Amino acid sequence: MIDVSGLTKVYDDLRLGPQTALDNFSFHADPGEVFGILGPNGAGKTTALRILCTLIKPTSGVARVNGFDVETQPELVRHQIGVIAANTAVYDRMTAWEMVDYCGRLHGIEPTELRERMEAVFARLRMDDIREVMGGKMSTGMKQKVAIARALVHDPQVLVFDEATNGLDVLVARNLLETIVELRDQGKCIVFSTHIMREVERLCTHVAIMHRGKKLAEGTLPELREQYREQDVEDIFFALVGRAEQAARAEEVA
Amino acid sequence: MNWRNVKLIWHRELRDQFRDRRSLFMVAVLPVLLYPMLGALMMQLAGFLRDHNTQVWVIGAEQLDGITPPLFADKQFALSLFAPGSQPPKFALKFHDSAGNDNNQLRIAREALTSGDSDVVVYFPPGFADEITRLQSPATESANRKSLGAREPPRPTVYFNSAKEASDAGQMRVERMLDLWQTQLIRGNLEARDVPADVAAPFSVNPQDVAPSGGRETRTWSRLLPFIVFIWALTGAFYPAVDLCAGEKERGTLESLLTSPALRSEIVSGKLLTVITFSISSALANLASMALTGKVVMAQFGMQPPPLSAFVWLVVALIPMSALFSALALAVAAFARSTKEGQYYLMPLLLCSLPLMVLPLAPNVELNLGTSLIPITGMVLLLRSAIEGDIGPALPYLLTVTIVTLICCWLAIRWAVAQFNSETVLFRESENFSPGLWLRKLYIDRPAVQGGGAAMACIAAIYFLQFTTRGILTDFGTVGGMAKIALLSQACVLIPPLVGAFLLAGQPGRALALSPKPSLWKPMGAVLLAVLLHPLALQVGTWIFEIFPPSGDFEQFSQAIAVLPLWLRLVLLGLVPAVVEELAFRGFVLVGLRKSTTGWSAVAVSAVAFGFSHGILQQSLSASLLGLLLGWIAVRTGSIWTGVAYHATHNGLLHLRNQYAAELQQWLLQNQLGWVTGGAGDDALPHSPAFTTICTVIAAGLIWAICRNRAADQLPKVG
Repeated sequence: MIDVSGLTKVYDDLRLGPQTALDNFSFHADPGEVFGILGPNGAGKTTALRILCTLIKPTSGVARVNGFDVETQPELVRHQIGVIAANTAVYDRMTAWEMVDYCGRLHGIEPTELRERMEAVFARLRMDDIREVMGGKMSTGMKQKVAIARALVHDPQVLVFDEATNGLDVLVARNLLETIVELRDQGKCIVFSTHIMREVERLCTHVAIMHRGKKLAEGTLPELREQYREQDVEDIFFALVGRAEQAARAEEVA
Repeated sequence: MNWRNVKLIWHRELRDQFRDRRSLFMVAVLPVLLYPMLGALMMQLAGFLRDHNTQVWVIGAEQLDGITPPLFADKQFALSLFAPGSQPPKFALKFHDSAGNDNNQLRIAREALTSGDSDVVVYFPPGFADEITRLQSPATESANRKSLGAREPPRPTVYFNSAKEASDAGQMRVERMLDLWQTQLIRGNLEARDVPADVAAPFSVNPQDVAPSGGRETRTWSRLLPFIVFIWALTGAFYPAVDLCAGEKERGTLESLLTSPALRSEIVSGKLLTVITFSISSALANLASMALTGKVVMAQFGMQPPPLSAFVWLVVALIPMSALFSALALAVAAFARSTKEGQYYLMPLLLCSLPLMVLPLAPNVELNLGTSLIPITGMVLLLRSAIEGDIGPALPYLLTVTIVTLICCWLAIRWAVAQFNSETVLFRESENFSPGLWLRKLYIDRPAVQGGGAAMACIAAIYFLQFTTRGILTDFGTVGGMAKIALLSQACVLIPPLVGAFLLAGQPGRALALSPKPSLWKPMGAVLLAVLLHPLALQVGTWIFEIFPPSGDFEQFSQAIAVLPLWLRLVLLGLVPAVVEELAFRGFVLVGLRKSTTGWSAVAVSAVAFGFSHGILQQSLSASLLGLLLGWIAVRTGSIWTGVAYHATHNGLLHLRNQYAAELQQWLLQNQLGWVTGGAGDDALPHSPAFTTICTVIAAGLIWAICRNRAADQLPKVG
């Protein structure tokens, strides 16, 4: 469903010179799987997901979503995916219903079918009471629901969650995680980036731990526990990141 | 492109803007309120000026005793000054006696003017009446004719404060009174000497305006309306553009749109249609509000409203202009990260557009081929002719104005789409910019051959140097002076490409298209080609002069270079420019442009840039055409050398022709070759059509031979 191979993204910085935000990143995710990308700030999670969503182009490497290449077939890729990110917002001057309707129409869904899907999505996410609420008047939880509805309305096979629980209160975050579990169980392929270990433990079938654009480890949770002989994912994460950080500093000093 | 998506995005953005109070205020409320407010203000101002009595202090009025006719009567300006039945202007006069010396008077006047007690202070010096009455006596005249002729006239002083509107206007009104009085005094003096008053005014002008009723107002409207409407079209485009691009980035909603299946071109088109809608609506709202207000206000001033056809023409012209402004605004706004930053970009956009809108307001700027090629200006001038009801003479330029406007629209839309396709623009983050670091990075990361940006910067640097060095050397009259001027002008063209080639390109030789060296026959063939195309070049020059007769600048230039001996002309104005201009325009500029654009557009841009560098319109046009040929030769032969040979020969032949035209004609006639020039006149120009055609056909074959080549020998297209 998702095939990423040798993905690299280099930005040019006036002061620092070329900066590698993502370095030779590869992974594979199948339907019914939640692939977690775990890493601290600046690890390259958002860069990887932005490339998957066709917002930016890789410097090198290949990424395919449902068989479509993100660089050469970006429009087809965007038909396959739904995106929920912490930094995407809702339109202040549109109601929840209008926003989801707009998104569905952009995906080319016929009006009758779209209405049926919207009714279903609004019912599933318990959004009927906010249909006519303007984006500018919504609470954070309401906005998150609209973002999910917008991403689900065209029934995509792949869903991308980029630090989607950032800034949410515990109740809203819990609801979001429950929705992801439901979607996983429906056979969707989900890529989920976060820096919160508990979310990874709860959701992900596969995990990649990242630091400074590089993948430090990858595998299922039992595989990682066995490989690093630690039961707690948080301990595995800190050990890996700590080592990588030390190595990076030593390299900088040298 | 899926137009369903475009329509969808357009409708959403429109709805969004209509729900935004700020946008609605700018587009609908402000224009509706602005003109009635301005109209009311104008009416109040006019009323104030009409009713305002100019406060005048008169110091030394006692010095006027005995003068007839009097200046004042009953504490006012004497009614005898005014034509019977006319309405005298209103003054509030206060009379004060003289207060000693001139310094004292000045102090009093200054205090009165500063405090606002008075708008104008008039001071009559002691002995004023004596001087005037002495002139009025015929006996004095015969006795002192000579001494009177040499005497200084008495000088009453009018103090005023130009920093204050009322005082500035008051001074003119008071001086007008004194002028009227002076005219009466002259008339009286002449009558006292039995000289007819007509001596002082042997004739009077009888102005007869043959303009049709309302013609004067139409002329005013034709200048004013396009300017106002286009300014509002630009302003009306900018605010929605900023909100739709920078505003969406700031609010974080742009990413969700970019992750939808809509193409970037569909997103830009939808947003562009929204901005165009607002731009047109804003301009139309202004026009409507202006029309309604104007109807009331103009009636007060006795002005006629603009003809209805003016509004029709404005609406027709508004559509392409709004499209152009909207695309420009969208492209500029896409670069901004926030609404605040976006608003900073309004000023540069206005500064670039305003001169083009203001240029047609300058006197003697008319619609012709030259002005019709200037974006915005051509459209304003065409609109002016249409509003004035004089569309006939402007019609030949309708095509050029339309083509120029459409090309500009297309380029602006392409720029906007490119902005939306550039991730560095869409996801631009704040950076700690340092010019030093930037230059260092440019040098360190310089490619083998410069790009289009460096080429455009080179063109800009050439123009800048040419502009700033203009006037440094002005010694046009001597050989040395002219030689220095010619060398300085060539240095302005040479320095930017040389600096650019060594600082911005890793391989300066390739950057200037110095290699590969062509086979020797090609430069030699180019010399022959220039000779063969010489008749056509002269013919083209003649056509250009027919359309644009030689201006003062051109005549001045021709006279100035005549100072130089022929050999120096051939070197300084023939050979040196050929090398320098080829290095600059076919070397650095063309090589750079070819890295960014396709063959012909790079050649065309370099040719136009080359043309403009000549500064004089007639030369610019012919040089642009020459630039097309030289550009093509450079592309096909892979270096500048063949072009240098052609260019030097072309320049040299022009100077030789100027020197030896008459001799050549004589020689041709003597040798039974009169058919070459048609056989008439002293000047061997222009050549006969038959001779020009034969030469051109042979030249075409030669061009084909020179330019027919293996791809490997062509100017490299790097990138």
